[in-house]
Amino acid sequence: MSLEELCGLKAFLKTTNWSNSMRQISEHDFQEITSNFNNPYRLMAPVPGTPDLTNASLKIDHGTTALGFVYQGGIVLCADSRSSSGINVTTQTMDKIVPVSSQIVGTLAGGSADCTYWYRVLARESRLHELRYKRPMSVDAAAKMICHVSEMHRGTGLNMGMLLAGYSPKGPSLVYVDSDGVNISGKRFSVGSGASNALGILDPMYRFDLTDEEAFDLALQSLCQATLCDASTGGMVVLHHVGPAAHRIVRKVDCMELHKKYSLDARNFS
Amino acid sequence: METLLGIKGPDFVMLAADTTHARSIIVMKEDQNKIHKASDNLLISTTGESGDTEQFTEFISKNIALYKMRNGYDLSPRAAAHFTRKNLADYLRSRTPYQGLHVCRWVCFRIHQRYDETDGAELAFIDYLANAKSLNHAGHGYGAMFCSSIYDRYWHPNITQDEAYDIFKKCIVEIQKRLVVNLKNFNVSVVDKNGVRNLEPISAQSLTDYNASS
Amino acid sequence: MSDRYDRAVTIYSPDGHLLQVEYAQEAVRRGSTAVGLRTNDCIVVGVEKRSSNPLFDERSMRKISMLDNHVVMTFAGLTADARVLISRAQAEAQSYRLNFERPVTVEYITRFIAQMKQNYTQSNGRRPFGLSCLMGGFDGDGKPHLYQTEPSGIYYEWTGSSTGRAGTTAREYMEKHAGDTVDSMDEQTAVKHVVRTLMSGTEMSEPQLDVAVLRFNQPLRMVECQALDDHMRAIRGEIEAEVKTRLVPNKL
Repeated sequence: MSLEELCGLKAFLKTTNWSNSMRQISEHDFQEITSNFNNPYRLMAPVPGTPDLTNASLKIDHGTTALGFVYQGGIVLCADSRSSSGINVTTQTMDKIVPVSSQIVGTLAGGSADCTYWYRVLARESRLHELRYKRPMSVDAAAKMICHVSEMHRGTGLNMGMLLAGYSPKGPSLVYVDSDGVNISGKRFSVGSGASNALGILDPMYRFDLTDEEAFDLALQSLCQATLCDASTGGMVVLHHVGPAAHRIVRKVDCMELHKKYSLDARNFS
Repeated sequence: METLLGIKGPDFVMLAADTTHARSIIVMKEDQNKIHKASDNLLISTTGESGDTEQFTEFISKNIALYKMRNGYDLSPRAAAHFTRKNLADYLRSRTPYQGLHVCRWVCFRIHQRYDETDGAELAFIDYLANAKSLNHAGHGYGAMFCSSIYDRYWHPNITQDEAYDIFKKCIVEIQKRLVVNLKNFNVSVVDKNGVRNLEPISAQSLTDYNASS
Repeated sequence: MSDRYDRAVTIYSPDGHLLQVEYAQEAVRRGSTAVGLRTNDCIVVGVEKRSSNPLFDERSMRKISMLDNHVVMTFAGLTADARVLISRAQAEAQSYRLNFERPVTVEYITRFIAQMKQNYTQSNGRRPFGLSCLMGGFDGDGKPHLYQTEPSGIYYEWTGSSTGRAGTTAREYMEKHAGDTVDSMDEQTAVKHVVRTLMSGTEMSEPQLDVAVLRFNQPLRMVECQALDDHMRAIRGEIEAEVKTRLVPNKL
């Protein structure tokens, strides 16, 4: 009965005899018990003052590598597609780079349920922002929203790490936000369990004035290294480019292909 | 790990803060400014658990801005420090997950300062247990442990801005020599009767030149 | 018959009016005159300050206030209502900065105020704000905007507008005079134009008015009493001259 729980009906059903209750439910009651539908921020929000930590230690599937950097031609985001739960690989085809709006793209790491859900909320809010304020939501504002969500759900085991990338008239921006409420903007980030591996390649080879092809190559190479060294990173490697006008998927490569290409390069097998 | 330093002079206050932002073992950012300008003559530098400090600092500075907008004049330095302390104390004693679980353990060491025409310079030291104290020199974080002796040796009531900057250099040389963590770059800001100014950051490079000359 | 339809704010009269809202507009029409002007690089707002008592300290009457560093507001109507509205708008401006990391646009804060006013016309146990507000300010790109809101929750954008007791007279004056040159006015001319507009509606012997100028990225500047006095004297001279020239052809 997950839907009941999601929309808040479950608590109500526990205390009410359903057959009688339909007659007694007023419009107001109905709105109250389904309020999660209208206001996603209420979802699972802790009751003020008495945080429920019984589930806080639940094992959440995580383990991924995502990286992003700003260079002269825009922003590159790159992520793998493996989703794992404990020691099991759940899927090899998960989209971890998600478009939020026509301006913003993000990567997800951490609990994939949390991430997917809040990305959908973010997408909704950014569209509403466009309609309300007649201009696209900035990356900063999107990041701030996730920060507020993190703060609201402190201590409930929310687990996310996001890279948000986008363009504004002022130029490219890349922001890292996570469920601790951290919100930092920068030129070069990597998140997830394979982050340290990816950074080992990315840091020494990164320059701002990379050409498009060099930048794509660097991102793939860094991620390839992460798939080699990190057990929970793998599957398809997706490469996204965010330009001033639009964002697009540049490449989707099986990491096996990358292994063949780059390990030959690196170790001179031939 | 993060370190904040502050020195009060007769007509100015100078702050220094390292620029490293780390998540677990990874340095995420090397140019994070931790000295925030809250109004024309008020600086707040904060350190602690990164999400909370940022959230809290912004909350405080937006409220100080609101106060000015509503009343037409700034919050006095002591009032600003008190406002900050009160908020911290309230969070400390509340059971909201935000501060109850995280902040009261290790978050929000802060130095808080401003120059005011009537009150003169004020350097308020506020820690995570919501102690607030007006001090002549102060520091937060592991790095500050090496600095108290340097402050004691070189600080005097009529200290000039150049001398204060020099004390920071001495402190940072010591931090980089003795602290196990690498804090390579420090931002320095000063507030005096002309408002807020950012001074030349003190980095490993600038210290090499400094050591060579002395 | 209106006494049956003005008991609650949420009840229409048979001819489709909300009488409480119209009473609020009446409160505005009795309020002191406020004028706003937008040139292509500054905002000038002026408001009449009536005080009949010589013991009254005029500085305690503030009718021009800032909503944020870049938005100024003045109003006609109930001053006590205005205080509540201003306070809410100021908080919203800061909260917008917190959420979106950029200052509010003039249109946004106007819409916020208009929305709040509208809310008070559609729920029980409330009374509409007896206020008409003029909001002037700059967007992030440095473009000035001037907006006006009414008690009903309507809002408009203007190059120049006025409201309050002599609002209609003043607006007519503005339409007739320098309507098309407002954009290119310099600050001095704009201030003088605002002063003259205010004078067109009310008899004033001494400067019973507040005028303020807002420029992009600069703090609000209240025009000094002496300068206002000079403007008024010059304007009186002009009026006399105009009257004379108008009279001369008549005599001929």
